Amino acid sequence: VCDPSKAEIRIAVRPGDERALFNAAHLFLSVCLLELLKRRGRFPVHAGTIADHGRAVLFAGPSGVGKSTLSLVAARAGWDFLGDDVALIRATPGGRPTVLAFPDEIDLVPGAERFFPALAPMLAERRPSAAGKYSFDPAEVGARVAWSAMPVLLVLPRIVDHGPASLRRLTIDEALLALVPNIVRTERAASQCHFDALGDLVRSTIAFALEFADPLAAPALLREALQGGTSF
Amino acid sequence: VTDSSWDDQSVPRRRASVATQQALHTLVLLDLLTGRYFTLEGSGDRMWELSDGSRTLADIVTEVAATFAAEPSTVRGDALELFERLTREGLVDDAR
Repeated sequence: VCDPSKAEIRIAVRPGDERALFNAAHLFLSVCLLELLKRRGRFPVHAGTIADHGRAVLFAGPSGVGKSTLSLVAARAGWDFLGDDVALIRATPGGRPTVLAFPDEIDLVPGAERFFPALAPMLAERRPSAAGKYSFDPAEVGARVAWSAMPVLLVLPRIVDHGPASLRRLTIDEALLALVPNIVRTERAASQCHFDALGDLVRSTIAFALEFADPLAAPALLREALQGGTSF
Repeated sequence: VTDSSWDDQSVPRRRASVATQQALHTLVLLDLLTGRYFTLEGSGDRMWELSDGSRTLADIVTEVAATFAAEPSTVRGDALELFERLTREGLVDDAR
């Protein structure tokens, strides 16, 4: 039971029911938590987030586009880590928004471990979660958490079969349309505020489509884009 | 309201269940009831803005024709087509 007016959530789970516990933690609790955060001016976006010297790159998109893999690759390449699945956008009146960390567990799909051979011993001891993913605490895999950053790049990743990683500049219109499915449709005022926050985000960042077969190639490409050293 | 009910005396009114956001060239409309979203540009964007339930379709046509230096008859045709489509999608109604 979620009661935003009292900032209160109550969930009952049968002891020993692993799937129910997973659903409670990842579905019911997360949705309620994110709804309460909206009331406090923190708006969720389905994105992994990394940062370099306080300048953030958000990997936005639905499940399966490589958000976690890209976030973990970058974290292990020395970037700060703010989350692999959800970021919170805090609007600043008249200024740039801030992206806040949501560094719950990192969830890797089976198969992604080939990009992280150093993690093989840890993975061998682990079995996938109820969602079929390997879950880690960020600290376990060497991710250094940063709690906030200034969003600079908004990246919409897509996994391709082969070829070098590439970035293609997107318009503000394309970026905003890609983020619309993030809006949790509850009551109108909160949903409009969420939409406004996403609008602020796309207007204050540079958006790219990233196609990659090898995620290990992404950090260098993103660092170049972040430093403005590449013309698109 | 049926698809064919729009005329010069209709008073288009945006539904309260629609959230909007202006991108660069595009106004994005999100129907909070269905989750479906739509885009409007140029004169369509302006017609949406003017659909506050206080202006007739004829008023809107006059204003948009002036803003875009367009033929009123052309704008009227566009407006009828737009409002019929927006009605079908549940995004506007006629406040008349």
